[in-house]
Amino acid sequence: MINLQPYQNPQYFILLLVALLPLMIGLYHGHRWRIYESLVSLLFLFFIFDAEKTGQGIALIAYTLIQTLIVKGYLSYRTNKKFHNKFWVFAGAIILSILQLVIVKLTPLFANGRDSIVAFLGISYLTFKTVGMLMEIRDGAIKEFDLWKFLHFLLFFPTISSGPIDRYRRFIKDYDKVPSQEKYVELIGKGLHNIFLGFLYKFLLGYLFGTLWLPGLEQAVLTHKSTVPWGLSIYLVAYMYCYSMYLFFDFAGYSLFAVGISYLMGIETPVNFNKPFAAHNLKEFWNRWHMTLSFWFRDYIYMRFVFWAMKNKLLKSRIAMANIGYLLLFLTMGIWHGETWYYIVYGLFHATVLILTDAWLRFKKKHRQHIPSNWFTKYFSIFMTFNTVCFSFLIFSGILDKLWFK
Amino acid sequence: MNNLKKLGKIIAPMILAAVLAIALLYGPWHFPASSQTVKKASTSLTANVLRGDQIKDKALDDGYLMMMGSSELSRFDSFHPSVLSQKYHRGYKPFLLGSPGTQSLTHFFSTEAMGKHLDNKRVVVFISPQWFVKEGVDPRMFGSYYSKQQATYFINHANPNSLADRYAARRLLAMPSGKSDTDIENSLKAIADKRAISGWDKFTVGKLGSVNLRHQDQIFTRLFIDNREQLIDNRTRVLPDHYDYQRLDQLAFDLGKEHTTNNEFGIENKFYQRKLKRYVKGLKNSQTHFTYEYGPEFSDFQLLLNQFQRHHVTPLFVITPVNGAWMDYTGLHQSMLDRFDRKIKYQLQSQGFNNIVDLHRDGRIPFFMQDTIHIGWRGWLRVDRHIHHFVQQPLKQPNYQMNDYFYTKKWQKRNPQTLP
Repeated sequence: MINLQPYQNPQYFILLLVALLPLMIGLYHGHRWRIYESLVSLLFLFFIFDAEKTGQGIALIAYTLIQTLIVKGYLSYRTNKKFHNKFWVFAGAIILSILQLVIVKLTPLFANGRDSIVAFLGISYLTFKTVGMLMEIRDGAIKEFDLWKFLHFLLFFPTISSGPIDRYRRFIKDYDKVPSQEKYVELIGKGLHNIFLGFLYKFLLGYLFGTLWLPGLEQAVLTHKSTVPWGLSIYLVAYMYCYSMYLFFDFAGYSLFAVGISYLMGIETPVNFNKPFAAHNLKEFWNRWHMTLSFWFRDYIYMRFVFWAMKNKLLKSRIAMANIGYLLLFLTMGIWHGETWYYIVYGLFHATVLILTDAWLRFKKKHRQHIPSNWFTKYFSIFMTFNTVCFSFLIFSGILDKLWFK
Repeated sequence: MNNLKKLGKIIAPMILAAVLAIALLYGPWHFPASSQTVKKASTSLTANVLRGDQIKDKALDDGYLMMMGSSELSRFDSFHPSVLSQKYHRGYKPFLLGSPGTQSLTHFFSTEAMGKHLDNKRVVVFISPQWFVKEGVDPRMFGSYYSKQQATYFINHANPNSLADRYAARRLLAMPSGKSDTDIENSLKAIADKRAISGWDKFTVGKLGSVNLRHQDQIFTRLFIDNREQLIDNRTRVLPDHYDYQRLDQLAFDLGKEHTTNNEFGIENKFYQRKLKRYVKGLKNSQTHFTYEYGPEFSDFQLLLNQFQRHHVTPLFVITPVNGAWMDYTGLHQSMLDRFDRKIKYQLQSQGFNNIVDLHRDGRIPFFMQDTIHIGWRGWLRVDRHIHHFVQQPLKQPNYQMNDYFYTKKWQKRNPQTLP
């Protein structure tokens, strides 16, 4: 049986380009051959979830049915003038929508690390999409439901396994139209550039850091488990940088593929990374790293919490509210990564540093005259941010767990 | 038309790149390796060479003696077999295969891919007791020597009806490396489950993959080979013109003494300074519970033996010792090593592998070891003499009686004291 995991090797791209070629010729001539597009999407989805992965495929089908019913149901409720916009109905829809994800995320905790039978590749990213939709339906921003478009948005195969996370209205705008020939040629250029940059990132640099160097460093770190206090050897520092580079190049490479393939299909999926290691504080870092996820958390959790807390006058101080918002956001993100101490500490670490960053920025604003700002402070802040981030990735990597508790 | 031109400008370089890459990787080429490259590779210990295939095959055809081991091979003092055999006519040209972390499973896949080049050859295998920890080979270390080319070769030649091949497939699947490519993973699962490999996987792994990987090996492996020829030349300088065991042993004693002055364990100064000094306090009595008597390594080792049987290979096994003073300090028990030795020798001898150099009790001979667990000066000199005798003996058609019992958990867990 043919099974193709997305972007697993260069050969995958050859198959994918051959399959997309008719669609691209159509787009170039001003047609979007939707039926062909749907067939190709279905075929590549099938290849992800067939053979050994059939169980996941069934879980995906069930998931899609349930989510369709929830979104359709909630939209009918919101657009029917008879009903008022009740909070508990909204909350109910959200809870139902994330239920399968919660089950999937909690199963390993209660089943000795085994995966749930309702799990499938990309469940998180699909849930981000539907929850975002439900929120926008509540806001009244989404007023119509078209089953065909909804399914295309939800199951858009280039981004199915790990994002970037698109927004429904943005996606549909692209899907409904055909780019002008000039624009489409530009998209092809950008798309192919992204794909080739992705090759460099994922298949060369990611491989170098992740496959060639990381295992040896991990071995070196664990060899010094009991020879130095708390196992804190110099190798741990090397491991930290190597792991951070691996994480970036692997994931950024993957995201470049997803964005590049989307462009070839005439869909401008938002980018996920924008030189994250050039950020000069942690706040800016999150605007540059895994951007669609941090924007999702910002728009749908952080902002909504802060507005809600302000409306209900929960706290007097806006600063306190923002800080609680950070804690809530990053705790959620930590738990979403998995229920282990290191993911949660990773989240709390980021929240704490962000709170400190905000405090520092306020302090700096107040004492602007006395704080120097020149090329040195600029590069120093970039250096500090980079190292803070790498340290957080060291926590995230889980090696400290192996070093101290295993 | 303007847009079409722009499109052409964008696509043309990509198409050219794709065509060139495909032509290079899948075209009907053969890029032979020179004897020069093989000579350089024979002492390089580079992981590329181990992962590759072409250079090793040519080395076997050119009459090199494969020496498989792990970290001890990199202890190049003046008595290292590569040095002695360069200075004197010792009757063999060693080709070193192994680095820290290479164990039976890595050598199994490496020798498997040698195919018929291995037929009727002699080889030397250094058995480190440290391989035989309960958990078996560290998946990460295995991963850094994992070769897709060798895995592909294994898949193309594996027989699902053979217990050995099913066991090998299962072991590879237990490593992250075995799952790094879906087609390889699916093929391994088929072998492990005694099923036929699907047509698609046969095509991608067997047809497409193997050509591509072979070309990559032929083109790239030679580009990244560490050169130690200068180092080996330098090491030969202190040696007298003619081989004389007594004289060399005295020289090894003197050199050993000269290089082990900053510690009480007889460990080479630089190694002690760089790798041990800082940690030495924490290591006192840290190995009292170490055991090398159980675990999957025994069955992984059986795969290697099976390989030798299949290709009528005559191997010489060298069981390496642990530094005695270091054992006393860390609390590693000699009795445990004795039991390990009994178990591994039972596995060898009961199946007809009788060329064994058992050094496991020689770790207390002065300057036999270069550091904690690695042979040096006088130890290497002894090993070289054994290899010299080994290659002088006329080659007989080996007769091995393989026993699948050694793939079982029962054997892995068997207490050596219950052995006859």
